[in-house]
Formats: sequence, structure tokens, C-alpha cells
Amino acid sequence: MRMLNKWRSGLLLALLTVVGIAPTALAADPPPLKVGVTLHPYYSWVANVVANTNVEMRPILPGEVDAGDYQPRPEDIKKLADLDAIVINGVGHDDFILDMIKASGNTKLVIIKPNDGVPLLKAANGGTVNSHTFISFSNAIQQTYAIAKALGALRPELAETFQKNAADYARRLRAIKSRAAERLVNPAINRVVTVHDGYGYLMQEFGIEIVGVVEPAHGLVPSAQELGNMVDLLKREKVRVVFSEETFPEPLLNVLRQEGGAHVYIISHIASGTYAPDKFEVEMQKNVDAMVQALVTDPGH
Amino acid sequence: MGSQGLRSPRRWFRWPARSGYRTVEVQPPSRADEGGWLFLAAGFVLLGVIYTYGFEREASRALSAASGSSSGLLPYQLLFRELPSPEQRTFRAMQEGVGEAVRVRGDSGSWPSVEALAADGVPPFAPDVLDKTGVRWSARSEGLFANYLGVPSADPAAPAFLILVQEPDPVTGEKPPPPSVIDEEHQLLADGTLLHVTYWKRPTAGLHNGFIIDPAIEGWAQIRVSTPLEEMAKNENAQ
Repeated sequence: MRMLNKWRSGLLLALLTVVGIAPTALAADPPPLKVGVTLHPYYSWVANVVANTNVEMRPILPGEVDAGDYQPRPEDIKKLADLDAIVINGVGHDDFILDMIKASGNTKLVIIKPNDGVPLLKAANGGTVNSHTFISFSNAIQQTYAIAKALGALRPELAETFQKNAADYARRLRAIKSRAAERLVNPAINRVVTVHDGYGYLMQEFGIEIVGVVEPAHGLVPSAQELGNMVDLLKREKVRVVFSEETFPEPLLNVLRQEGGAHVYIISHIASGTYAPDKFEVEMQKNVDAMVQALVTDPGH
Repeated sequence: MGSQGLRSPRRWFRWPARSGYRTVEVQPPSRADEGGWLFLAAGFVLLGVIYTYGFEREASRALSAASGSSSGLLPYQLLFRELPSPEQRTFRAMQEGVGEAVRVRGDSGSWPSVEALAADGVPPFAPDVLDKTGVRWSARSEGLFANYLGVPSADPAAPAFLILVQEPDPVTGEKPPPPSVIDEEHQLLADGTLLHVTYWKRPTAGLHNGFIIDPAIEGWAQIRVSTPLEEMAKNENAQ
């Protein structure tokens, strides 16, 4: 058996020499690029950019944890130690990652901030910027290209593949957006309230105005007074649609329904669940379907 | 007693106690001394405040003088965040469209037509069913410049938009080293070509039909994402 293996190895070596590929050349191939991500949308975007290559992907946060509720853990810091690059939000949604990177001791890590150059909207409450740039088709496309460019700089031999993959992904996202836009022409309702301040970019793309945001800050439940103010706003501005999220407490939604006369629809800011390449497309499709139902279909009946 | 005196030499100069008791008069802190120290401290604080305020004000004035305004914006520039929402939407679409156009330019060496971009569904060039102003886009290029011009057809009160691209002069143009810092007005192609890309808006009334090379002179306002000072601070933080 051992003789047979030696014979096979010898044959392989001879074959490589004959076709001009020296074993040293094989050894010189760069190791697979290891890329980390902080948020679910970034996983989907990177996965689509690096499709059909040997790039390894690694989400840093556990899938079930929303970045807004996350506390860094030692086992997550370990995941950063051997990464080549990491894609981060960098405008307030994952600030914890910078300390984690320092703690990991990985000084060669390339930090990719696809938000650089993206025009930021103001946050509804608090005077900061709205960091949910990822809940948007237009931003997703631009940031996917930015990721492709940054990864291409790290692996020039794969740059063309990354660009082509990004272009294919952009085409698919534009198709979802375009179909939704056709259904959202002249909606019966074009002014809404959202529970979470995560939808400014998405609503703007479809010409929908956000009149108010229920949460006083990211992930915070409103006080009784704040909820009362929101009920007043719903009545005063005659807003009939509230977009909420599955995790928001049902008793508070009931106040908006019963006192404010609002219909509540569920949308998602793609913040938790299993990391998957198609997660962004699937959840954004659900989001625009919910918008069509809330703003076009239901008010028509 | 003797050993205590050795440990405390000041006691050698004091009158020896005649008995086991001695009387010591405890003086209250001097009002004059205390007031003096307080006054001195207050003086230091005041000087610090004057220095800091004066320094900040002078630095701000110097920056304003150099850049034309306290934000660093030039008189013909305005910020994305100050635009009304429909115009922000158009600007975002323009940015997305520029990304695609620049990629075609990088691959083919020439700027794509509006029709080609629209056929690929690229905003803002593709038909936009949600655009109430009916902006129609056209593209022209002359020499080192290219114009993508969007003019509203359904609402004369709506603004016109312009994407102005300037190619580098092949002889004297900027040739930055590969890892250059690219700001919001510059885009670097894979072959090292540094493009100058800017976004503009202006009232549609009075818009002439000619090719545009210097929009600021023709009443256009440049839309920027951030002020030059904000951009400078961001680049410093990134380094």
C-alpha cells in the first residue's frame, strides 16, 4: 500500500514537471481570503460578491443576536484573530467591533467600511445620523460594489470575478425594487409611522414619508408619555399605518391600534436569524410586499 | 523629653515649658492669604478661558477666510442633508448611476449612453415610475468632459440635475499613487485614471441647451455629501 502511494506521488510529481507547473508554484498560491462581517445584510452582500471563489466568510456575532443588543464575548473576539478583512457599518451600528478588533491583536486586519461616501440621513430622534443604511436597495447596490472593489484590492486575481458577481447581484436587487415601484405608484397612503428608526432610506426610495418614529432611540421601548405623544401624532397627522417589527411588545402596539386608530404591519431590518446569502433578497422582498399591502392593497378595500 | 527634642529641632528655639501644660494660640487662616490664593486661581481660570475662546475664534476665522464659510463650503455648494427628500432620492439615484457609468468607462474606455444605462435598469436613467417631475436624462461629452443632464418634463418648478465628469489631461493630469485617498469628488479607475465627478442642481427656468463645463458660473449649485472640513476630519480618523 505504501509502495503504491509512493508510486502515485512520483507519478504526480513527474506529471507536474512535464506540464511545467513546479510544486513551488503551487505552494506560492495565496491562502484563501478570510472575511468577517458584523451584520446580516453584509453577510449576504459579501457572500454574493465572493460566490464561486475560495474566500472564507465568518459572521462575528451570533445569528440570533441583534447588533443593537449585542455585548462582546471572548469567543467572538477569537473569531477576529486570523481574519484578513472585515466589513463593518462604521457609522454607529457596530461601534463595539473596533474595541473587539483591538482586543483580538489582529493588527493586519483590513477594515472595509462600505458606508464611506454614502449620503447619510438624519436620525429621527437624537440628532445623530441614521446608521441603517443597509435597509435600502440603492445603498445595498453601491455598498456591494464597494465591497467588491475592496476585496479585489486584496486579491487582484479575483477582482474581475468579484466585480461580475456584484453586477449580477445588483441586477437582481434592481429587479426587486423595480417590481415594487410599479406596485407602489400612486399609493393610497404615502405617510407612515415606523416603530424602529431603520427605514428612512427604504421609504425614501419609494417616495414614502415617515412622519414619526415610536422608539425614542435604537431598541428603546417608549415611556407611557412618549407613547401618548405618538398617539396624538397619529391622530393629528391622520396617519393610519404603522410599520413595526416582530419583537416590539404587542401591548404597546395595541395602544397604537386602539388609541391611535392605526393599522400595524410587520417589516424587518434584517438584524437577526440565520446568516444566508439570500437573506437580504428574501427579507427585502417581504418588506416591499408588506409596504404594498399596507399602502396600496388594504386601503383600497 | 530630650529625645523628643532631638526628633523635633524646632522645639530647641521655643521657651521651655514650666510645667506639664503649655498654652498654644491657634491662629485662624489668614483671610488675606486665602483671598490672595483664591484671586490667583480665579485669574488663572479666567486667563485659560480667554486664551481658549480667543484661540478657537481666531482659528475658526482663519478657516472661514481660507474656505469662504464656517463649514468650509464654497458659496455655490450645498449639502445633501439640507435637500428636500425627493431631491435626496434623486441624488442617491445619481450616485448609483455614476457607479455603473464609471465601471463601464473603466472597462470600455468610453462613457455609456443614457439609453444603454436605462436598458440595464440603472437609475436615474431608467424610467422611474415614482418620479412625479418626469426627469429626462441626456448625455454628451466634449474633450475631457462629460455631462449627464436631467431636466424635468412634468414640473417646470422642479430643479434640473447635472452629473459632471472630468477626465484627467493625458499630459498634465493627476497621476496619484495607487493607495491614494479618494474623496467624494474623485474616483480612481483600475488603470490609475483619476476622474473628477461632481453633482449639481439648479432651477430649470433659464437653463440653456449648451454643453456645461463650469456649472458654478451658470447658476448651478454643487451637491456635496459632507463639508470639506468633515471630509478632512474623516480622512484623519481613518489614518
